Amino acid sequence: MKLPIICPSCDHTLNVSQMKCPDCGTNVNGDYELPVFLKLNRDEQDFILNFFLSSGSIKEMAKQAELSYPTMRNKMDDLMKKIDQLKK
Amino acid sequence: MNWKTIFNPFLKFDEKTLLIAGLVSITAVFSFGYSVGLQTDSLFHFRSIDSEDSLLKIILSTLVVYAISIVIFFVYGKIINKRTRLIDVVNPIFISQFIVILLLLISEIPLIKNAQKQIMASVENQSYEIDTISVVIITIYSFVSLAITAYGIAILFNGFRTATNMKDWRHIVIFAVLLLTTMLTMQLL
Repeated sequence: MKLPIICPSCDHTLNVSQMKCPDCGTNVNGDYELPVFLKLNRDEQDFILNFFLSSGSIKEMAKQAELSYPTMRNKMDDLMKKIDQLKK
Repeated sequence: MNWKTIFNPFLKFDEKTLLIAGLVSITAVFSFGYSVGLQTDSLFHFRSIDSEDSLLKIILSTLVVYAISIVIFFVYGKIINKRTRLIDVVNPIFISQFIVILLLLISEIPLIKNAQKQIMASVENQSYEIDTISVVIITIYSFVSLAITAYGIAILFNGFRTATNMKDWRHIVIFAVLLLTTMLTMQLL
């Protein structure tokens, strides 16, 4: 199931208001901001995961995705910019 | 191969394959141009070879054209994005030049050569009767040449954009001004 991170009404990033233990059923209520990683969309999360799994090699990622190195590096630069903005 | 790849092969292919294609491209441009008495004097432009010039001088002046273009665009690429690599700037410059072969091939078509001769003769004789068919042929030739040149410039632009991750419209305007200035200055030198 896909975790919704954007408000369908106003496009603002959603916060977590409730968490539940799947084992004992305890509920925790509050207003928690999502971590930066979860604020990214699915493709961006996959990109970071792939980067990690390929030992941080953009060249290797480019090879796997059948894209050129600068294309992959540009994706990385754009993602870094987005994360910088999300952290502010 | 889709349209995206045709207009921007730099998105997909690795730098070594592109470099080989680029080297083949400039070698073919030089060889074909030399065989018809022309040499590259600027990006997307060629001029008649001076009969007194040696082959070595022609090769060197052609290499200077590419070297100046590479230095200018590499420095500009570094200004836009510090991570710009030399090979990613060299490849679009070399590969975009293959369109010169198409321009040379078209200009060598006898029908176009004859039309050019007829129009030149009419101008020299100060005659107002210019052959309509020749004018039509030259007009079509001009449009085709323009379209081919535009394709070459699109290849160069897309390659440079991929190399530098250029997005800002001001950077794009500076790129266009830089390209035009470089092309015109080299033609004048």
